[in-house]
Amino acid sequence: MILAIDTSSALTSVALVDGTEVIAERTHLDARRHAEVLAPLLRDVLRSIDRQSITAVACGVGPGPYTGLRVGIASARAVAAAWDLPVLGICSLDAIAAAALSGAEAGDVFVATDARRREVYWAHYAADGARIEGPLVCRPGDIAADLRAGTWAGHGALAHATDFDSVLVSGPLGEHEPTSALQYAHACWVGRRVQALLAAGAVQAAAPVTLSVHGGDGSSTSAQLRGIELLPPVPLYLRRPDVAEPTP
Amino acid sequence: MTTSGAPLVLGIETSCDETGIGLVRGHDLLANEIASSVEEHARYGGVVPEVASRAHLEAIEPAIRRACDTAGVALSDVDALAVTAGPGLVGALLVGVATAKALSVALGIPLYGVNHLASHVVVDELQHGPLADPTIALLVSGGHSSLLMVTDDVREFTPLGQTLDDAAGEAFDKVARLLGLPFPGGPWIDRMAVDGDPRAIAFPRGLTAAGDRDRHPYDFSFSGLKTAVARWVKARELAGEPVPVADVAASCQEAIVDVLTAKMVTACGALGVRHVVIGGGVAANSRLRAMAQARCDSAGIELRVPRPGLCTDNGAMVAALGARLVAQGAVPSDLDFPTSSTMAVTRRAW
Ligand SMILES: [Zn+2]
Repeated sequence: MILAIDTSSALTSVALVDGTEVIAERTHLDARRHAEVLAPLLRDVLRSIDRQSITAVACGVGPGPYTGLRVGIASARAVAAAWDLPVLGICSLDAIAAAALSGAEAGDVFVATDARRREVYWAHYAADGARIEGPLVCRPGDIAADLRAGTWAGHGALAHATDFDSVLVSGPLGEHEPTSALQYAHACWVGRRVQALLAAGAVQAAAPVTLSVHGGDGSSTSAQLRGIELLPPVPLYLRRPDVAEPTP
Repeated sequence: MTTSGAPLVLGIETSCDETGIGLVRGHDLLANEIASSVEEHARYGGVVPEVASRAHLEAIEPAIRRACDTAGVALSDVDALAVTAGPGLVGALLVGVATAKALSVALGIPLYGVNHLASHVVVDELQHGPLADPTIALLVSGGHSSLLMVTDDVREFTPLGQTLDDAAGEAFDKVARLLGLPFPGGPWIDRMAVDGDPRAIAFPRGLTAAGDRDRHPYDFSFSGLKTAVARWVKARELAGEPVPVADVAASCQEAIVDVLTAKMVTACGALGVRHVVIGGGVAANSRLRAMAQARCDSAGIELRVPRPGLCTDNGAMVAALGARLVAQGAVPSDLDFPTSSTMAVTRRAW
């Protein structure tokens, strides 16, 4: 069984996943209170579970607004340290793609989430869930028109619906999914995706190449990440810190 | 005094640019791991919040592991947790708070969200044992300069006065920048001042004139000092004369330290308190320590200042306050306690 956490969007989400089965999931929608709501959700999800049956902690590593994103990753790392378990990260957009692909007829799918500053984080997926391109960050209008004509999921696509031809608004809501998993990354899909990758023999990248404290620029990050699916628990910042060196 | 049977408390500090993890049992310090991002901020001339937050997330879990190794304990041996809930940079605080809350859930142990300022005071117990009651605390750092009355066995923190503008550490940083010294400026001013004459230049002592003294007996003001130093340096440059960096550093340091210690000793006399403790990063300043000692000695006041490594931000101070809360049977914080960039100094914990 895997404990999964995602805080890459306004949704704080914690789940226990066993194979494809969701044992428990708790979510809370509030863009500013991840650090207040996450621990109580974690406690609730773990209540009445034998923690010895948990074999790994999974976490969405973004991209997403940094402050909230760090709350989930720090929490996942802390639980894993306390219980001496591995922490397996995936790109949070992959969780939305997995949810979208589970309901849709076979075909490529695109995911866009809110990156603030009128930009979106986005990625392109094949029908089997493999990420073909991304994650990238840019204005929706700067995405090639033929891609924007595809099938899009994610709250970023919905918020910029005029830029996209076809936006999946809501899929079937499961009993554990009070908000659509087609809009926000849900921990249950993070957990399912990690379980599927582990079952397929995926190994974790030792480090996401140059993605470290300062992140990288979007294009090189994207190229480095393509095909790397189990990531270390380090945020996908995609942008450098917004600071200028003082002019002497 | 032995505290070997006391609970093991892990403290987490991430309010600014130091990731600090401390392990404390009673008044015994077992580990004090610090990872600093100060070098990453130096080129920006000040702490950049996003850079600090990123560095905290990278550093915190390795620092926890190192602290446990140093203390020779396992994380599962920890009996209680304490974490800085404020004041500080929100994005930075959240990394520590999220980590502490998750550890609390996973380990099934109580957590205290504590006040950074109170922990700067209580940290001295790790070196000098329980604080006297009452004690006056002088808290001086890059973000704060205040005089506090500490009573009720370190349960009550009552502000007597504070800075009306810049903090003392901020004044050191600004003067250092005027003199072309690196960030953070405090240690550089301290070092340069060794070869300078503290009486070379009479820089202003804020809020010490008769009228100001009545209205603001225990308040501070350092913005006028910065302006005076800037004007003095500019005049030298315009005159084509070299700036005597050591003399400026020494004279400016003297002005800051003079006001801090004078008001501290005055407060003791006026309020009949015989014990003082100095905390915060500026308490590491050698001239502050020396002048405070001399003035306390002649006034018959007992002075306590923790060693420099415990003055600057660290995890041990958070663990020390946590240990006190545990020992006093304080109620642990709820898991949904917030962080506060402006947490009031009167508040010991959430
Ligand atoms: Zn401090």
